[in-house]
Amino acid sequence: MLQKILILCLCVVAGIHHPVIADTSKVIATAGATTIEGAAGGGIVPWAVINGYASTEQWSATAMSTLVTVDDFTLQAVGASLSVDNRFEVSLTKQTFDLDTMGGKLGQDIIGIKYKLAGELLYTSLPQISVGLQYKRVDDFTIPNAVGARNDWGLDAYLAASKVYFDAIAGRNLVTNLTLRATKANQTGLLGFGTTTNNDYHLQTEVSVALLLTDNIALGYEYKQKPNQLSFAKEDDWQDIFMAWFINKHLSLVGAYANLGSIAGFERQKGWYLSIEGTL
Amino acid sequence: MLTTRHYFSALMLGLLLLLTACASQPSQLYQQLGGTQGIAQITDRFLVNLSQDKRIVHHFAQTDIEIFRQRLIEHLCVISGGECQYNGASMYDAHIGLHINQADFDAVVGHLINALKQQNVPIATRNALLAKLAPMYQDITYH
Repeated sequence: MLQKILILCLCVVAGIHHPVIADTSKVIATAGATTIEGAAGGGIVPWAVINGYASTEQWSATAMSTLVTVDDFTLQAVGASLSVDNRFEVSLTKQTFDLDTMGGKLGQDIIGIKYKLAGELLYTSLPQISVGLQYKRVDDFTIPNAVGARNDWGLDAYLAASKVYFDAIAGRNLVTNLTLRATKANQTGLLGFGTTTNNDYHLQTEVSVALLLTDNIALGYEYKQKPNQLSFAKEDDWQDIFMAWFINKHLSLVGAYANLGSIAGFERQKGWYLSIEGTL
Repeated sequence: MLTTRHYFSALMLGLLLLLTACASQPSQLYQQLGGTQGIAQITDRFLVNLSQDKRIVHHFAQTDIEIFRQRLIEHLCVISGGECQYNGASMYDAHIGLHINQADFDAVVGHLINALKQQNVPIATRNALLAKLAPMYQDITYH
């Protein structure tokens, strides 16, 4: 199903006034990486940047695979995205969350869209501002239901502002990002949405900063605020320190050390994050 | 008796002296780019890169490349704080009717970065120059 939607999107794009071959005019690293939720960004925070290196009147496609291994859990995310005109992005992502210590697994599918509203990452004093939606649906509602989640699907909405400051620190360019997200998700949706007693949206703040040590290597930090609403176990905010290597405009690698805090009663979940991304 | 006006005058005089002192020697950025000679070499590499890009070379079909080259050298010199005079039109006027879009601008930025790298300009110098050039986007594109 996901693949069919992507192929359909590709055909639609190719059918409009765009060239058949993807193009790559954007400056290297300005596409960012891809988050575990499929949107262009850091590792866990979506940015206002649009995935891929397509500029105006161009299109781009990406595919990514990410592995996060913390003490008692393993998250895998695979996804693909399509972007048009450096304006619009659609992404499809499948997450699998193995409960290594407890046994069993959780999972969710995420369909994301992002639209650039204003500003240009590199060129305007106004930050680049984008709005995004993420439709999420869990694979199996049994466990989320058992721990008190209300729904097996949810819709996150976010507003992201990103800006590059040239020559900011030691002559290096600094990428800054602020994202405000409205969400009902428990553990980003892996444990369902809302609770049996509360179905309100929560406004959360997410930030990323990254310094481009070279043109294609970035060192950064991310913080993702999360709701803490299920009574069975505490949910913590997430953070990570990452190093991204944009080998060229077609291949990038991100390694990170992530601190995911308490998950389902398992405290201090820390570990490694590794992501590979290919871009057309 | 010293009045507020005296203080103000003294302050302005001091500021003027400071500015004159700054203006009397070419800026660090200009020197880091290798002065006028370095800027000319960067410009030549940049023009070669542009000429080889099929996506954007059509924008220069009506351009007198020798004059364009000279104006570009002057412009980069002035922007980087060198003691030059820019004899060209404003960035806005120079791009009227050329319908330059973001993809064109992105491509040109890429070629400039490559030219600076080919010329072994250090990353901090490159970024300092880009900081001055990037805001020209709004004067150059979409008109």
